[in-house]
Amino acid sequence: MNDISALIIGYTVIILLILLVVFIILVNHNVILKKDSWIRRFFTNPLTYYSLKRIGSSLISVILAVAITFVLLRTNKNYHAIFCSAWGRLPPETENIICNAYLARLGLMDSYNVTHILEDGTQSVETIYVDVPMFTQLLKYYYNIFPIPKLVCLRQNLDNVTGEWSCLEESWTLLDFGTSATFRKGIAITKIVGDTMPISFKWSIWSIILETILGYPLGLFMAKYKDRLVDKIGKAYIIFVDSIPGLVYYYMFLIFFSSVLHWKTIYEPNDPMTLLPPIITSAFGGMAGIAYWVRRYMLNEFSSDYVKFARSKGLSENKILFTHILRNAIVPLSRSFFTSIIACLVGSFFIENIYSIGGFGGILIKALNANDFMLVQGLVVITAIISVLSYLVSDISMAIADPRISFTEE
Amino acid sequence: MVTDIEKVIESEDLDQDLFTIVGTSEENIEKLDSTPYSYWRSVWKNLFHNKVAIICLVLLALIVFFTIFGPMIMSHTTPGNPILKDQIRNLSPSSEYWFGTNDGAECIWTVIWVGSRFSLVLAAVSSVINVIIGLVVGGLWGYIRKLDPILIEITNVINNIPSLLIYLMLMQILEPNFWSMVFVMCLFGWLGLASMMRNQIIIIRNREFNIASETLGSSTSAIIIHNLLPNLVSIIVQVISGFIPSCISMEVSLQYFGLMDADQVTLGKVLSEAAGKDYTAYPHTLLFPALIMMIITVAFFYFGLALADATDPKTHM
Repeated sequence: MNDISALIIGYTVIILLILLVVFIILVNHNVILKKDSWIRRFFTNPLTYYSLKRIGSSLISVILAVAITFVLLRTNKNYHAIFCSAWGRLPPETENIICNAYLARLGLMDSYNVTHILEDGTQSVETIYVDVPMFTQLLKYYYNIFPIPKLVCLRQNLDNVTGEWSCLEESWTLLDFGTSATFRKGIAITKIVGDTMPISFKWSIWSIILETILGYPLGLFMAKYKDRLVDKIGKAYIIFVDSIPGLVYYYMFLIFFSSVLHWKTIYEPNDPMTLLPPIITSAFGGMAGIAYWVRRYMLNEFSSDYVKFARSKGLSENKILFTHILRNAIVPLSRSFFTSIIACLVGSFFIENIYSIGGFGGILIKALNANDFMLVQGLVVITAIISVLSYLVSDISMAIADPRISFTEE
Repeated sequence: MVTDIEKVIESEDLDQDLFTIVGTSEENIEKLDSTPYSYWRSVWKNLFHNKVAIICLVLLALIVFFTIFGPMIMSHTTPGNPILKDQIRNLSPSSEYWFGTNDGAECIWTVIWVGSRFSLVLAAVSSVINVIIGLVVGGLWGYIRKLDPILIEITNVINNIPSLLIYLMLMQILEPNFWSMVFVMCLFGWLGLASMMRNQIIIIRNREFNIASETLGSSTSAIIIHNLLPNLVSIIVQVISGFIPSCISMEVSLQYFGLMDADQVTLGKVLSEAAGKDYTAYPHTLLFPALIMMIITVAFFYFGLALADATDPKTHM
């Protein structure tokens, strides 16, 4: 695929999408297609319109999040000094030029070629670097994170002596979050994320599975034996997890695994046993949340009319619980399941760092310590997008699954 | 009095043998057998029936006592001399150092209580500010219908973004000190309380008793104080009980990311510094801060829940 055709396809898709959105809005406000037909019925479907509105508000969230991140990370920062020291000792005579060229590569500066005509008639070309205004950078960033195919340099290198830049790897990507400045200098954030996300996903999906398998029955039993021993222990556990800062019990687990069980607590990619501590630590927290909601929904359903009716018909409590209540209670709970699967991509900021897993969440603190705000910005924006997306998916999936939810405004 | 009763019996043509007059007492006439309902008395009664809540209250009192007087009871200053410093590094708990010493040769007992003082004051101040903003905004939100769409959109947008990231970003430009922490905690912390208030107000506003008092011409302040607030107390208490642990937790997280004042001793700093050192060889350096933090947060959280239960008028008999 060459340069122009990719761009044409990308833009065409986006323009078509915008036209579709405008069309749906117009149909819903009775501007066009006033006659009742199947097309109208299709586009005025409340679900479509609700999804559209929800996507719109998510988009605003993302736009705002990017803008806030941008402004906050770029104020009070002397990035010139921080980023230039990343490449080690540069020859003093060319240091300034190389630095400026680097900042230009990161999109923080703009370069102009100015041609001087000297007195003897020869021409000399001088490159002038100017700071790019923050607003321009922001607009460029919005363009880069817009899913249109673009050619991105994934790895670039600087020759310390000659001061020449070379692109080692180039590829077409949909999203471009910029280039890491100090932590993994010269490597595109898209590539870093692509490398680390599978690692995060691999361990967190197991913890989601574990917490779902254990959390649902716990909540179920707590609701069934309300105010009995199981419920009391479960409640104490939920309060424990809810109130204590996550880091505290992560550390407690760490001490337990390393001092008591003598497990390896440092992640090795080839040893699946080293994944066990982070999975257990993460599932311990997540299980409490699931058990709490399962218990709550079950208790809500217990007092509803159809359960009373089932009871008056003489059905056994177990039958009511498993065939009647569980089916209804599972709808709102499926919402959290979707959200947590998407959240798996991010992993955990703390757990990955504690157990030295080189996943997505673990990089954030390293990037912060390395003052690499290009990477911090990329990670924060990606996390925000994923979070917004997971809420969106869960809301829409819940709207589809639960017939009791209505979308139309009164 | 006695003669009055005799007259009544005679006039009604009743047989006097059926009655024996015990006597009358002027004082007992106005007395009621059952004590009248008092909201706050019922709250205390409910609360003190909950044994775990009492234990939590005692723990909280102890913790507050120690954060004030703990460093005075037993305190060691870290020696400046490096040789002396090396001698008292990572000591196990003993009669001299109750909680032992850490890698920096600091007395863990002292550091913990000084740190918790900061963390607790921070949590308390930001909770108070959050509650005030939350109450005012929530009250307005519930009553002024035009505000509804704007505030709902704002809540949606902010709830979509993980709060830890917002705090992280804000701490990037702020000088890390006490008031900047308070500012960060209070920027969006009140949104949850405000939206809860709004929901409750909308529910209560349309209840019969409120409509009745509105039609009888009660003033707005009377409606807020007598109709709304008693129903809201329990929710407010519940939210506050969550604020304090979450403030402490946020402080720990920011400390972990290295975005706090390096010179300020806080509970989070004690914890994350211990975790950065050799905790496998000296588990007590990590265990004691973690335990104290657990006690503080659980006690606050549980006591808050119990108080919220007790203040809910529906649970009063």
